[in-house]
Amino acid sequence: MRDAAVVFEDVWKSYPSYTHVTGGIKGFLFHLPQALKGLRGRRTALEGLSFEIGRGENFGFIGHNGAGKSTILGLIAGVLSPDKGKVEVNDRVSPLLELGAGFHPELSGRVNILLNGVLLGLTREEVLEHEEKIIEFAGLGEFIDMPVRTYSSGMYAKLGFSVVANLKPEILLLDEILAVGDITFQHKCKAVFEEFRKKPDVTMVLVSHSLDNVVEVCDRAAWIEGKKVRMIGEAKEVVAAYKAVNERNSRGCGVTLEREAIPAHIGTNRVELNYSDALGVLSPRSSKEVLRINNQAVLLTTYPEAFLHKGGGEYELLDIAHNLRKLGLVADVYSPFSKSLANYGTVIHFSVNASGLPIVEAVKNTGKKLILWPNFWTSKVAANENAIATRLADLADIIVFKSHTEKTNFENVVSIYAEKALIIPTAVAPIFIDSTPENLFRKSFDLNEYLVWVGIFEPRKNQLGVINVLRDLELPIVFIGNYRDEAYYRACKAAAPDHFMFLEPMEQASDILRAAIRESRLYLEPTLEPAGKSVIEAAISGARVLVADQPWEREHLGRFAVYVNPKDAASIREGVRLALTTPVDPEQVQALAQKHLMPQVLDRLVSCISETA
Amino acid sequence: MNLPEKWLWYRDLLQVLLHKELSVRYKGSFLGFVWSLLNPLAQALIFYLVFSVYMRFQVSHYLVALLAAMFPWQWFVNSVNEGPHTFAANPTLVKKVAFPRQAIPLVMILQNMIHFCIALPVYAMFMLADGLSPGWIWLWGIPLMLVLTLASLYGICLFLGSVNLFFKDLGNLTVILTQMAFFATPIMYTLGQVPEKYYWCFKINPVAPLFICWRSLLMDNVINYDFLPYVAGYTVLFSFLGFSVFRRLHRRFAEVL
Repeated sequence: MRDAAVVFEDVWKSYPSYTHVTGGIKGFLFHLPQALKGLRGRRTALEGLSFEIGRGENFGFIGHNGAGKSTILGLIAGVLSPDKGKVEVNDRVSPLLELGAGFHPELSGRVNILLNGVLLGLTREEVLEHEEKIIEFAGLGEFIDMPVRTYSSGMYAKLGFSVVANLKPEILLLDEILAVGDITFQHKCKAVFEEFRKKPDVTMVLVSHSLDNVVEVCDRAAWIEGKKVRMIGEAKEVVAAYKAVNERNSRGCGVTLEREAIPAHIGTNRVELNYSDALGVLSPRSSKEVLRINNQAVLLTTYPEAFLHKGGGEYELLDIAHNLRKLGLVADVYSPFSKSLANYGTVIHFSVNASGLPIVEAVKNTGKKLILWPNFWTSKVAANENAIATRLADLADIIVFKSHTEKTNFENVVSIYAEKALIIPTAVAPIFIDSTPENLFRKSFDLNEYLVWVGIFEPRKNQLGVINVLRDLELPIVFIGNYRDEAYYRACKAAAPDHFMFLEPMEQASDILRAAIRESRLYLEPTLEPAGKSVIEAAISGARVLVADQPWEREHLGRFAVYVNPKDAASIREGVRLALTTPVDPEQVQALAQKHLMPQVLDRLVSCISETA
Repeated sequence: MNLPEKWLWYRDLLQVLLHKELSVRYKGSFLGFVWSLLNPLAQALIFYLVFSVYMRFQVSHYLVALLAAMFPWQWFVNSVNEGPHTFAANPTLVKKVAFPRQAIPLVMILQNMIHFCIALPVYAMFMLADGLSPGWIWLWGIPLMLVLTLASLYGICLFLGSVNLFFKDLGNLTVILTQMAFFATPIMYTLGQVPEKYYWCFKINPVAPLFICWRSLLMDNVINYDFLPYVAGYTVLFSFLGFSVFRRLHRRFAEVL
């Protein structure tokens, strides 16, 4: 046996549970009995470890999170000391644990090389001797004389790595095999590790969750479990034994296990993610990327019976999914064809319907990020809906509102944390700015100038009121839509003068409907309840719009629309006169489109989804 | 590493860390280290106005007397107030790198000492302007006092820095204590204004002898042999306290940070 670089002899290590002490003197005095107990109470991390690592040997530690591997590294590095037993380290230790630990952000890369080198145990002269080599290896160009706070995280890691790798390491401590920076630099890293591996005077100590790396790099390995060495020997054999035990335990939940294997204390590392059925095998370069890829898959859910009566809300859901995909996310609508939940980082749940609660609860139980999309613009709420909305809002991480009005309405019923709310302006499909054949609607129905009202007939929409007020209008009003209340529909027809037209409903967003709106002199929707999304679509496609003076309308349309009191005849007449005499301002149309058009309007939602928790 | 090599490294380590601290401290500030002069000067000016001009203190060369104690006090109070935070503010150095951690407070104190040394010529100019002049005794008196102050501060800061990791309230407590110490020490008033029968108060105050000796040296060009033994005694006490607490606790630093 070559002489030993590291010797552990019956090493015990525990950590304090200083909870009451670190709480300050007040906490200490107020909880004196517990605090005194706390002083003595410690959790053990290692129980009687003994092993020896020879000089020049490449040694790996494997085991689950919390097994004590990082504690071992800390003991070798000399930042921790054992409670009992002996840790003997015979060479200078170069911890490659946190790249650039000890860098000062205000100082230049060059000065930081010196600082870091000296901290690693070299004299000034020794560091300066290698300075040029380090600078060349890091390949940062003129950045080397700029403060490191201006560096990207990749550059930071490169410099940190270069310092450690080029300063004659004797014992190299590695928490995962590092491959930092771009591809070229990663190759350099690999070459350096290969060189160290072969050198007889460089000892490498590796802690890794990548068993392949351990087999590849290490001669010998130790398997740490339950605070003790479970097995020590040839790397290949130890890994094989570890695999045999753990694969038996983990069959069937590979994805979650792989993800747990990313230790939180590692800044930059390489992790292999295996999404068996979803995204193929990814080899992201940093753990940050791992999380982003995960979170970029979104599942959209709603209450189960929603698609039995496919309406505006369901179309909206499909539209959102479609446009999220345009923005580069994986977005699936929950169905027999969507993937299993483990593949998605985020779930967006639409509506606050009671029957959707079990889905939301199931999602939340797996710890996924939950975005609630209440579609809650009305102010009328049933008593039981109130409780459901509260429960859903509690479960949600983020709640999307399409307007401040909606948010206010929602908050009248449910109190929510301000930071949960996210306002995403009502999203309009880009088709509404697409052109339609010239005078398509006017030609089809043999019309010249006209006003238009698109929407279902019902008393709260106020068609009858408007007809009664405007019956003397010279221009015809064209009503397009079905009725929910037949009697009301008949009453409307009866009240209307002969030149008014009543047309069957038309396909949503079809050319003919868009043409009907675009070619009209005025789009009417002065309803008694808040107007629908159709008003914004009409405005964006360039129509003049007249709506009721209500908060929802005011918030969305600003100065663009003409506002009237829907119950006041004089106000409606004056509004129509005004609307017919003032032209549409194209700049305002542009501004509205910018605010509402998909997919851009979803950008904030996407960044919300991509954000790591 | 053999012994001389180790000392070489210690020297380099201190040098590099000190250089870092000095270059970082006033980076991006327009007046830079001039601030370390302006601070005590401004304070001295305020005391001068209040006590000499408005309240008619009968002390000759009052402004110089103020500065003679104010400059060393500035070094002292800056270091002590920063003391509790030296380890806590450098978690990466404590947790990630194995190097003699006691260098962290030492570098901080040395840095403040350098600012004090830069202030000495400025102080001398105030003396000359007021018709006083520095004496030859400074040549050995100042190094002696520097060593004593440095050793006291090192002990105090090691103690504060170590204990503060376990009792976080110490930082706030320290600020109050230094404020009390300021008034309990002849800095804005002189020893001559205090009846001799109360001198024992300054002898049991572990901070006061230091500044009494500094003022005697810098203003009267004498070593105050009445108080110097107390300075030496308290220095030994502080150093002993600081080092023994640090030795006992430093193994646990990485666990609590």
